[in-house]
Amino acid sequence: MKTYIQSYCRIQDGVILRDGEVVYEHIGETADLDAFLTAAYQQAGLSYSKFFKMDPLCRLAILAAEGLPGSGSGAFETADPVQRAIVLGNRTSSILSDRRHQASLDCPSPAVFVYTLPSIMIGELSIRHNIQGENSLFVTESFDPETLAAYADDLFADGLCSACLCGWIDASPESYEALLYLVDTTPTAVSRPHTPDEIRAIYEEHQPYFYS
Amino acid sequence: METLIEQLKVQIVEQLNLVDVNPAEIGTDEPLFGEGLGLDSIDGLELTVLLNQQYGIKVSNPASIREAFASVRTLAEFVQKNAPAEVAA
Repeated sequence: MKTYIQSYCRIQDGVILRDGEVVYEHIGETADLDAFLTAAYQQAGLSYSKFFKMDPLCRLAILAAEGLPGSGSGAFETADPVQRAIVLGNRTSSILSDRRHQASLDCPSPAVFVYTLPSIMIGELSIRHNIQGENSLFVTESFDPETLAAYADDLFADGLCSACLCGWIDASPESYEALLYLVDTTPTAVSRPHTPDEIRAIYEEHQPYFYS
Repeated sequence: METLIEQLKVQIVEQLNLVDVNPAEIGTDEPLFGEGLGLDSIDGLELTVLLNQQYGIKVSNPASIREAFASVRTLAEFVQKNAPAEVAA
């Protein structure tokens, strides 16, 4: 079964690109993830009160996913929520919340503790976009499009989903980045093959921009 | 009591990181959970942390203070009744 990337969002170093177009560029210290997330949220005109209760990793995921489900072939929008899947990967797990929780062990905060697992991203995205189907998150040493593509394609082949939100969301004290993309089985004029090489190409095609 | 109510509104916004909520706009008698301020179960746990940190009230059984979490007014009444004298003063 052939699968296709319908649209994507790439975030790194204070820049948000949707399908290759810069939609937000942060003015100020791009390494300040909190400031970047707040400014990008406001610029996007979002109104989602839960956003500010989330940890930075989940806020990054929410920002990256905005607009994706409504794009492309429309398969996600028309799919039964139980046929909407989500497959994510990251490198540093929930390190930002882990450290925050560790620093407050004398009087731990429940609101911090609930974010000390990276899979909470799946929960937040599922609530936001009514995803009730299969879900998985892989923690790997580096960006791993082979695993992401193979797992998502298995879900399609087994009839377990008709649209899948996939990608890589990582946030650590040193850096942050996101690549989220929407996959389904309908080719369109702008869709790209859902293959590890194509995913890696999308991931890397903006590197010169980010590091220039 | 009115001072405590206004103080609690500010502390709730800070403790729960309600960035888009103005403390002055929280209704004293509006529900904290569900309708009204729309808090959830994690927020409820966070409120018990607030009670401990700010007022020295240790809540061993969260279910026992369900009625106190109905509104800012009931929460203020609970604080006034249960905070150690030196904290409540």
